Amino acid sequence: MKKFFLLVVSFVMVLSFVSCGNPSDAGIIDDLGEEIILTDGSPQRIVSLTPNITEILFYLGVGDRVVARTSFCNYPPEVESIPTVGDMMNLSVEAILGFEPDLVIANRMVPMEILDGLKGTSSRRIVVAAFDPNSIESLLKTIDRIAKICDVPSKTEELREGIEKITSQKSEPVIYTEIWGDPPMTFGKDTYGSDLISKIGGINLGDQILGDFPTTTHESIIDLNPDIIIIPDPYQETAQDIKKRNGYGNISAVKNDKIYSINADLLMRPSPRIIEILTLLQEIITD
Amino acid sequence: MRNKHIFVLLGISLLITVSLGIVIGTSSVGISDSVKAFFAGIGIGDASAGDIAIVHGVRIPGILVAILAGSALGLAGWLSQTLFRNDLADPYIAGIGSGAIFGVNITLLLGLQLGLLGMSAISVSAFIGSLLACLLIWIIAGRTGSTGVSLVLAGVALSFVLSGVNYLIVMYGRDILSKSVFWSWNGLASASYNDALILVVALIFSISIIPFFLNGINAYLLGDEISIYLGVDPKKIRRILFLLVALLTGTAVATSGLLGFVGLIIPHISRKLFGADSKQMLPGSLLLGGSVLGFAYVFGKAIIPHQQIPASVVMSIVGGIFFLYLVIRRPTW
Amino acid sequence: MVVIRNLTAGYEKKAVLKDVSFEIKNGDFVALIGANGSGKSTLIKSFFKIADVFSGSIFIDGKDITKMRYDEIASLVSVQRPVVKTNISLPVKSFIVAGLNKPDEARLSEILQEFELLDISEKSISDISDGQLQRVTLAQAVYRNPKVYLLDEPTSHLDLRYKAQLLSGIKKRIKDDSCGLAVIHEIELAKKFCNKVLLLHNGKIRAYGDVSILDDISLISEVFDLDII
Repeated sequence: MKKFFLLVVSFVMVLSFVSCGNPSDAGIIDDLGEEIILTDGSPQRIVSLTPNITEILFYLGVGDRVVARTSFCNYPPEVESIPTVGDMMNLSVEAILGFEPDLVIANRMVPMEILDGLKGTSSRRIVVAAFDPNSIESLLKTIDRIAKICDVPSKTEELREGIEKITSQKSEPVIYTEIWGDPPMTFGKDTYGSDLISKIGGINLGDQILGDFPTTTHESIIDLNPDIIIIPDPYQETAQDIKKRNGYGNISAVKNDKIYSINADLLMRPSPRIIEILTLLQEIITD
Repeated sequence: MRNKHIFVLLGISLLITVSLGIVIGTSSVGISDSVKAFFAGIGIGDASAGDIAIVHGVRIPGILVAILAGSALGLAGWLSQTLFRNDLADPYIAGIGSGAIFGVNITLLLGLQLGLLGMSAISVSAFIGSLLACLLIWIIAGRTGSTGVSLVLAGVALSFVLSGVNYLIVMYGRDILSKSVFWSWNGLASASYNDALILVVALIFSISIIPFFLNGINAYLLGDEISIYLGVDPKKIRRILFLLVALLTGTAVATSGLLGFVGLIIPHISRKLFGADSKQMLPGSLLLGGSVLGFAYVFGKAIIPHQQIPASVVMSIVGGIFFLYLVIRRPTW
Repeated sequence: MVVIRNLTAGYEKKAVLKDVSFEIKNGDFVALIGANGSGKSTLIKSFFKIADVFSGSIFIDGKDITKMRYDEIASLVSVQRPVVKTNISLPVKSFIVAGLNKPDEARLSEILQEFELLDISEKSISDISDGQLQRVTLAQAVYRNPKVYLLDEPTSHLDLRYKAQLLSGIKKRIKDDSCGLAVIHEIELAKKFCNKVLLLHNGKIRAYGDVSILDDISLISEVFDLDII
């Protein structure tokens, strides 16, 4: 009985490998695993529901097709003139439909009801796609796929060249990036931030902790002893505040005054501004 | 006499909890290193500076605040069950919880710099929010003669109103939700000696006042009319109880977030162990509250490396199950 | 010794007792009898201002208690009511001294002994029998050594035995320096335990005198609004 069960399980697993190990050249698969089918040519009215997608669309030169964005989308500056549909907390199908989009791009943070609602309600067909890049490579692939959907040339080659030029540091400093301090929260192993840090030769402190955006404890931060602490900008605490925390006086980053403040959007948002953030990180690590 | 023994046992368990809090943590600093670091920190022997920082900078304030907050909530729980003459009452019943969250949300939304007495803006705003909620409840209920029932009803109503307002703030306040949720569950994460000191002050104040009213509280328990026949003005007792519940709960919320179930369960266990007399409930709820929350806090540190399961989560799960057990055992509720 | 002068009392502006005056001499145990709504409970409640005292005074040994604080009144007057099963958990010992600032331990053990409550002194009042509960109730009153024993009985549905137990207990304690006033629903109990009777009718005193007036059937039927005879 048990053997039979194992057999069934392995059969199912083989099948599923076959199905995902088949990246079709023609089709575009989004990060929800769905194939994006364009029947009416390349989309002209796009609603972007996440800030990094908005950046990508502008990077690809199709910013003029974006008819609505979220209130989080703040880059490039031109977005200011585009109307907003609210943010993650208060999206509504109706508000989005009001912009008569033919393409809505989201990520997995956007509730499924919204995505399903968009697909189902309109008389016109709306293409819905979701992308969640969590590494440098998946960011580049996301840009490729969006370029394909919009039927414009992908400009990832220049990004790849830029990334190639980033050298990695040999000293392997431990870097702690604080997203929130009470309790301490950082990014874990399979995240864009962690990939950026390993690209420049650092070790992401969060890699040792379970979860994508794990909370940890002040005790463990002191024990894991980061060489560099990065705080987002803007942030409710200053480097001085962090130095003053109980027991932080012994952390090498505090002792050596290596607490840096970095534009939070650059750090947290897998976007075409990747060269900018990598260069910043490289400066910090060699400082 | 039996009670004396249990009190001694509880005192010992409190000491054990403190010791566990010192030697158990989320980092790799083990038991013997912790002990060395503890003594090195008070000038006996040597240990690495990092270990001393962890033990004296994080673990000791953490376990102290957990125990003191547990005592404060245990005491506040007993006082509020007395206030409402209802074993199911909870210190958060007067809208204190949602008031505190409201305070925190407003502070995060407006970016107010409310830091005071070494407490963070979030702590101060939680304290102010919870006290404002209490004050409002008191004024509203006072219009109807401030009976126990009108206090409960006003508290429930205010909780709903504030929950709604809190959602509105979060809707337009971008990332406030995660921050205030983190704070409410994880308030012990940045415990400091300063927090411990503030709790000690609130506890000492309460403990030195209550003994003057112990027999009055016993009379109050029998109902407003009988209380008057026994020479005790129930309105006066109600005022004192309400003030103490607000002070203790507000302080606990400000220093350690929202810790559910402590205030509900501790008085129950205390009543079972020592009887319902106020003379026993005072030390009972203090000692039990401290031990239980302290233990939940230490337990939460020992499960996942580098991560702490918040004491509030441990209390919710374990406390919730315990409460279900009580409900099943006493179906008359 | 209780002297009540022109007492008008009630609830929220509505007077239930209307201009009532009478005296209870030390050593007297007065049965308070009247139909529902005649003002029996209001009279008892007036002692502690639980009913609103609109005008008039209540003097105990010459002092007007309507001007006193609750604790001062409680040191002179003890109100008891036959207690039915309660779910309030409070040890017997603590129940007896509830509300007192400085209980006298020696007196407490005397009282516990006298009422044979030593065995159950640590038990909760929610866990003792109804009979024991009446003893505890009486003990609470006797501990205070009051000038006036008041007995209020909100409903008439109690077991007769317990009422008798409480009444006889109070009767025994009324000496030369104290007196008693008890709301009684059963005329037979009044005859047995009290020496005087106060008949209330529509908030006024209909008759006040020796218990023998209870034999006047026409008077009783008038007080209870009965027209059977």
